[in-house]
Amino acid sequence: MKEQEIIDIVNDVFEESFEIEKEELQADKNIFADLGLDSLDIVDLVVALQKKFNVKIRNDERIRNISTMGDLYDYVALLKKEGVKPV
Amino acid sequence: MKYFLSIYIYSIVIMFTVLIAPFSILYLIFLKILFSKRTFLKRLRRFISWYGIIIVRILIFPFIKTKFTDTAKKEKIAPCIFVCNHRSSSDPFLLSFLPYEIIQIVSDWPFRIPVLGVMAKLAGYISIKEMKHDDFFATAEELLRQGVSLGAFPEGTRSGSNKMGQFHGAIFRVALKVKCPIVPLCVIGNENIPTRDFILNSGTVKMKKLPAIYYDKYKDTTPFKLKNYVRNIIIEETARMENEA
Repeated sequence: MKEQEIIDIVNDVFEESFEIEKEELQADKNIFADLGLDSLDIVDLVVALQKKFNVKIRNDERIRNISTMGDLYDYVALLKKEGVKPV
Repeated sequence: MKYFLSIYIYSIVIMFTVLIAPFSILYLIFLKILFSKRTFLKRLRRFISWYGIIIVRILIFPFIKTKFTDTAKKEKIAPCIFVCNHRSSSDPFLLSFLPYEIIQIVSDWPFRIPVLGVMAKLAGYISIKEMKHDDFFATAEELLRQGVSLGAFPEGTRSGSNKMGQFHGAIFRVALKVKCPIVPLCVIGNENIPTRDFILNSGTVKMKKLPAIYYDKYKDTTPFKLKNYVRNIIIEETARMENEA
């Protein structure tokens, strides 16, 4: 999966789950301070990402280190590279 | 001048609190002995509201003036969730204007204030930082089912300016589950009353209660969209209030 493809799919998740406008979804945007997600929204986000990418990441500690959209794109790219087991 | 004002107001509030403390204790004992737990809590919450009203209406006047506007007086809203912007630590006192049985959802620090902290704890105020999510949801839902309204400051921390922070969504998840009205409250003028260093300045603080948002209006939305919907209503109204001021 190419980098841009991952970015597009992650952005789709944000648009579908939170109705955040595409223009807002930039790599440097902070998920909490700029986009307004809170810890409970992150749970919803993880569920949506699991469904979209067909992976199981609910208990992955690395999620705690994600703060920007860029971090999230990198994280998903890493998952794909690692070949995380499907749900 | 500002130090004089701070010393004057804090002194008068402390004196008032010390003066009524013995009567409060007697009143609480009286309530506890004669009434059921539910009535005890109801009266105690009313008592706290009156304490707040005396401070915001009388003790700080004329240096700090407060004005409350209810734009939908005839609405039957209780039990509901009041959602207020949070510019200053004086915001919780302003909820005394609301003539309802209210529990405030606060951070942990108000519980450390002498006397007030004890009263808040006794009245069942919720310290959201000290609770697990599930416990918070269960407590909030139970209070609403008992007919008690909730007062929340979803920014979580005071902004100290006219900018509004992002909202936390927990209280909106409760609203979606319990299907109760959400009532936006807009406060302006207290960004520096007091400052983050608790220095008081003179000025006029205005609070406006907006029409309720009923479940039918928000039932098909997600917690994320709901919190931003309410946040935008408050942003627009506070901007309008600032322009009128």
